[in-house]
Amino acid sequence: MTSATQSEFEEILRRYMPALRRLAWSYARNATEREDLLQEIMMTLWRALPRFRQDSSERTYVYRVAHNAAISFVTADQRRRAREHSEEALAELAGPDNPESDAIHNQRVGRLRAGVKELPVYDRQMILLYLEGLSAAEIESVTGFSAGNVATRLTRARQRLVAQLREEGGHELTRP
Amino acid sequence: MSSLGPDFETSLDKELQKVWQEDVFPQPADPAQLARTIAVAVQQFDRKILWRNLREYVAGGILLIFFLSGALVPVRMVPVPWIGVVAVAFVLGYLWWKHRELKPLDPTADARAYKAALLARYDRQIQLLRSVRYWYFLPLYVWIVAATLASGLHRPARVSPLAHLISLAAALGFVTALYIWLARLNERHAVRRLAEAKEQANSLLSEQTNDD
Repeated sequence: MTSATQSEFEEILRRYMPALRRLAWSYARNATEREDLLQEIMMTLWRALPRFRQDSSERTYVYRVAHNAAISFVTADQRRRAREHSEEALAELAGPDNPESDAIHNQRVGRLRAGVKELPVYDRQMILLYLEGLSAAEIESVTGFSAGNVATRLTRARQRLVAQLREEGGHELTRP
Repeated sequence: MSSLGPDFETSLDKELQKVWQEDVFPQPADPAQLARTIAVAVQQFDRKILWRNLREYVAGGILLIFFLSGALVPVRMVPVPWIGVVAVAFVLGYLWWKHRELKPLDPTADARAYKAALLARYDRQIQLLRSVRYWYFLPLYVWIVAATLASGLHRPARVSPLAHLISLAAALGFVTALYIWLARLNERHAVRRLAEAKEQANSLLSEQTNDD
């Protein structure tokens, strides 16, 4: 890999790390899994970087790779999940986080994230992309579904999320 | 997002987006350092995988050399070393050919294509494991049967012909039973585990796709 690729990767991490963290948090069951998944996503992004030929936007490219890495992660068995290389240094570098305790301080965020986490994988994927602010065209590009299909799925995912939040008592989030 | 319908243009959704993007996660110390660490981790991981694959081929290579050195000794009624050479070369060649087919998934594909490729990969792995009795156990079985027969060609003087025949048949029976047991063990456990994993992946990813 060239130094240009390296700096491109740095820029991607700089720009998308918060979104990647939110994504990892949404697919992982605990802090260890979250760090594993985040590392997996970053490694997949780094590997896939030479394939990025500007034929899609950087944003859709990053979300495609990140969601695919997450899908592989959640479908992998325990043996595959066990990383073969050191994670501790990476986990430290990725920055300490403790969303569980953060959620106590920020209940709205906590409730919303818990609601998203409860959704089935495909609904979760749709709603994550939407909540991250991707446009309909970008969601189509990331998921591979047609515009009509994206709208249907998104409406359903959103209804499920709102129902979930109401069940969890997140009324302040679901009041129009 | 006009194409998403009126539901998605409400202030509720804007609020949800705003809340979602409130960043409670602290930023990593230094993206440049993180990028360098990831690059090194990928390199180390790839090297490990390369060594793991190489070890399999080296083990096969050592077996090949062993059989070839035996084959250099002339005049044998049963060409056991040559059968060994052919068996090991076949297994190694088949594995190499299949490894070429098993390409890694393209992480830049869209989610729909990626899911299809993921499930197809499970199918290919199951197919490979199901046929292991033909491409792995059978060639090695032929070799071990040949080796057993070759060792039974010369009857020790103190053993009666009938006892010799019985012991030879018992040895062949044992080898056959062992190979059948190993092949079935592979199918029962490895294939079943992989089929279950595929089923889990399929149900996980297909939960809400009945309108595909």
